[in-house]
Amino acid sequence: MKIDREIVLTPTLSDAEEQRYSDQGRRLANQLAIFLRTFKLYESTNDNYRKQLQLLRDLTNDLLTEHLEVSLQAQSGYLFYCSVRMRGERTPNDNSHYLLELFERLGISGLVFELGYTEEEITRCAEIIWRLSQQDGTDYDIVRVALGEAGVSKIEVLPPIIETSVEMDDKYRQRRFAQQTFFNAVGNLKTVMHAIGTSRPVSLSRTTRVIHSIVDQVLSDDSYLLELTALRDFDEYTFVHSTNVCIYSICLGANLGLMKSELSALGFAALFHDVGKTKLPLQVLNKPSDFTENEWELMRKHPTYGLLSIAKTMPLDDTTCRAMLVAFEHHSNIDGSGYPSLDFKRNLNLFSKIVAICDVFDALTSGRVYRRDARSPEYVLETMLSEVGTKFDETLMRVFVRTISVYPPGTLLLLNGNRIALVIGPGRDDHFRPMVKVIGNRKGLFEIAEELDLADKDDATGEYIHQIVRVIDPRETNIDVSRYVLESWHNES
Amino acid sequence: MLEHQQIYGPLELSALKELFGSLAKTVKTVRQYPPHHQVAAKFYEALHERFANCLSTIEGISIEVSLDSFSCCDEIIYHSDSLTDNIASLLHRDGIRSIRFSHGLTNGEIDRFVDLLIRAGRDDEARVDIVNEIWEADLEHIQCEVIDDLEYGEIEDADSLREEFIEEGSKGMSDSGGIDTHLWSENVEEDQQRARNQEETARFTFGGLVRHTQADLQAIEKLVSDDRKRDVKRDVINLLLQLCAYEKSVHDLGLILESLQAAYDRLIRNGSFATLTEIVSGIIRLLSERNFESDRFERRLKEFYQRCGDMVRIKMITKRLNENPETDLEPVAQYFRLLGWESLNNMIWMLGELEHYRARRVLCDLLVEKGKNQIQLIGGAVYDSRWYVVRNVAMIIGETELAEGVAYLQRAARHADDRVRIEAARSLARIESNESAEALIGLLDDESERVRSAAVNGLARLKHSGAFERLRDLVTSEQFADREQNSMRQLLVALIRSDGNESLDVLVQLLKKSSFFKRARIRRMQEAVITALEAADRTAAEDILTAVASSSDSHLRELARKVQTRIQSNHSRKQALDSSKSPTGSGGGDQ
Repeated sequence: MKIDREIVLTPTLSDAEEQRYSDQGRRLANQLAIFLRTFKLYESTNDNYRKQLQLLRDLTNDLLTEHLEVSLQAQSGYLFYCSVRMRGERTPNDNSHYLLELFERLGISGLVFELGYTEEEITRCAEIIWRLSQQDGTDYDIVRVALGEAGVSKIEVLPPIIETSVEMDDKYRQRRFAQQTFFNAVGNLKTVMHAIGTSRPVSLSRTTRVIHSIVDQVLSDDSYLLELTALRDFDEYTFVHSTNVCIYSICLGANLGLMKSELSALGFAALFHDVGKTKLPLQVLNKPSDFTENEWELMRKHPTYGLLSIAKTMPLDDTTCRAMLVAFEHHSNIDGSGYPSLDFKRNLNLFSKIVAICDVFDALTSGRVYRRDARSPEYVLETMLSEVGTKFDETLMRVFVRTISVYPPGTLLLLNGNRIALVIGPGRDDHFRPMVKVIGNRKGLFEIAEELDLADKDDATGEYIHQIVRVIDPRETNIDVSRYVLESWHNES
Repeated sequence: MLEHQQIYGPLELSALKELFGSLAKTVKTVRQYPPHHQVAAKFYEALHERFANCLSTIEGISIEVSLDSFSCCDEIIYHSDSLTDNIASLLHRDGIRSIRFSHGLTNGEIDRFVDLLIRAGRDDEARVDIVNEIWEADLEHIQCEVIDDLEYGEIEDADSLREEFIEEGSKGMSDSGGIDTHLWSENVEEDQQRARNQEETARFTFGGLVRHTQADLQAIEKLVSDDRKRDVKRDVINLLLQLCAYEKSVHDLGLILESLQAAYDRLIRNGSFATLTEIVSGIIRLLSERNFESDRFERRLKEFYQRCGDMVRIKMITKRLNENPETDLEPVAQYFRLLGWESLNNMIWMLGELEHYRARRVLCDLLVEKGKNQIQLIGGAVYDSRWYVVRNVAMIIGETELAEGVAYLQRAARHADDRVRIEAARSLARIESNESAEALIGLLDDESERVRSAAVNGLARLKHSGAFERLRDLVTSEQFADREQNSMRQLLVALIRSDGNESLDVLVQLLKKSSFFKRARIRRMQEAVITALEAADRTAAEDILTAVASSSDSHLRELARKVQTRIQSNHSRKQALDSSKSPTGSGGGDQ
């Protein structure tokens, strides 16, 4: 066997090449699954079976003109074709998932086809796979020996992969890096806000580095960070909320075409928009019930306190001045309403208008200490759209919807087939069909979630394979979203 | 680490040593000279050339950065033990461990990089370090690698935060067990229908938003371009001032002013004098325009205004100006102009502390302006123990040209240091009054020749009848002939210059003077008169000298002729000079 038995990444592949491998793998996985399923249903003389067998042979022969051998291998819930991870290729109903479950039952990680394998060999192989998959205690050695005894030499099985020995692929690394950045942002913000709360001068170069890191990641692929906005922690509400607003704002700013340095300033302003709250008593901030009028009056002062806190503790440059304006204006509406109420007229800063949108969206979708009932993003967006021209700038609101999509990251969806999915990023082509992780079904939640592109269509019918039945509230189902958002961390730790 | 693309040979390493040596020298030079100075420009030019040469033979320059050196392939290519001019430590201390300069590096990027190195660490309170600045500069062909430890060393550990999130997220939530829910549907058809409804509703509500329209693109462009025109610093200052203006609670006004004060002090340390000027102007405007319901509001604002020029701030400004001689002084002047009389003494103190002439000059000009209304405050500084302060104050009083200043200058004219007395003499000459003439006459007997000379010149310059009268009385006195000949000549010249016509009569009288007992002294005096005539109007002097040239005294006759010749020769020289300056002077235009 010439193949390296562990998945070896091929980092030199370009995006286009990776996509080509991914497409080849998808075709092979589909056909292999269909063939094996057909084998289960029909006799070997059946026309249907013969047709699928021929299609598989044609396809593999075609692929083997490019490679000396072709492999399909499972690792961490993903399928790899010739060592390249296939994109958007796993759902409970699709062929890839069928193979993943089959390989797991057999105790193998995959199959390798070598040039010159015969029709007889693939038929014997299918028989063995079918028979052994029905037996308990099947493992790699049993399957390997069975194939050897049946004279199958040009189709081999791959041993199971020990997770820790496998290198992360780029997406894993990006996801992990995004998580690192997210937690660094939250942690750094806690430190800095504490210093500001006690009116001590603060060192902001580290905060700025965290923001630069967020900007870099958003410009590279915003979905990894957007996905993390689904995390909730009521004990750290202000810090998590501010970090989310920072991420949303930078994403929105990037869609407006702002320059890198402007995105950095926007991120900075967004991160500190609620800094004035450090001056409010904790018993008010953390009050679980509705505020009294006096408490509201105090709350309405936090924008002014924010402005003054930044003026007092930070150097006065363009970035901090923007942050001061945003801290002061983020509860001001474009029609002049909102708070603090002023005796003079102001033209709101662009950054303030952006942060105002992101602030309201995150606050309403995540729930607050004093109102834990989060609303669905779809509902919140619809409500916010009804307030353009009075509360929010219409253009920015439209761009915001485009930025986070109709089903923003963190949204829980009920898919057809009684599947529950978590949105992890906007769809590639269709705003109504996002990227999701399928995290469970009526039997329960999955240990490892699977990524799925809701824009995938059935090759034969041209219809969408998956349908969104409705948006669901995590509390409605008691689903802990964070474990799926942080899944890659689990896998790598 | 950034990967080395190749192993460098000895020649390449040698070129890299020269390159980074040149970079260090450029940084050092540009710190000393203004950015557009020709010396700095030459260093930039050499650096550009070296980078271009290196990048033409080397496929990207990757260097490792340590505390005191740069290295390449384990070879040190730059080393410095200096605490102030070590460019490696500037990068290393903020966490940079390697840098790569790649093909396509532009001169603009090199200049920006040098600029960042020059500014690195100058401002202790800056929001950004050099790593942030390099990122924000978006230098496409310069990449840095930064260590993480430094980056996140002091903040809460990301791992523990993650655990906290998982714990918090799972509270009351399902793990992997069944989901107790009413979600499930047994009816596939019903499921399909609900899905269709969901999609239709979503597309109906949001369908128009999924793509940028032309109108959207135009609106976005306008939003962004309008915003880029805003001066956010000014916005913030105006906002803070507006809050001051409209605040109804004394307590909250105190909070606003407290923050404004902190920002204000930071602005001084950064040398943002234009912004400071805006703040002071705003406070002055508030004080003049606002009708205060309570004295406490007004008092708070006045206190703020007074603090703008108190000793603490003046010391901060002095430090800033001394450390940054290249500061744009125009806004500094505007700032000083806005300060009240309460700050005058502090500004005079500052006068003695400023190290750079440009800044002193600006302050002096301001004190001249302010001194016109507050001469007693300025004048009081002649009692300052620092001679150089008194000298500057003497100069300022002179420039006010106020007669009230003479009393202070008389005091300065008695100062122990002759540099102060000289300045006093010069300043007295600018104030037309009998008192200033008197004071200058007094200085004619000063022990210092330079002071006496300044007094004579001062008297000559003083176009005041009092000065002429005092000089006439002096030169016609009996004791005049007892002076040294040079002193006599200086006084006579001063007399001629203070009033040309009348003075000639006096000179003629002196030439006619005779005394049997004081013959020698009278002759020396008359010699002084003849030589002093060189300073008089040529025609009038010629008449007098012609008369002397035909006198019986051969010595005086000879001297008069010599002076006549000198006057004639000076006149011819002057004519030649004038004609060469005129457009037709040297081109044969007379033909």
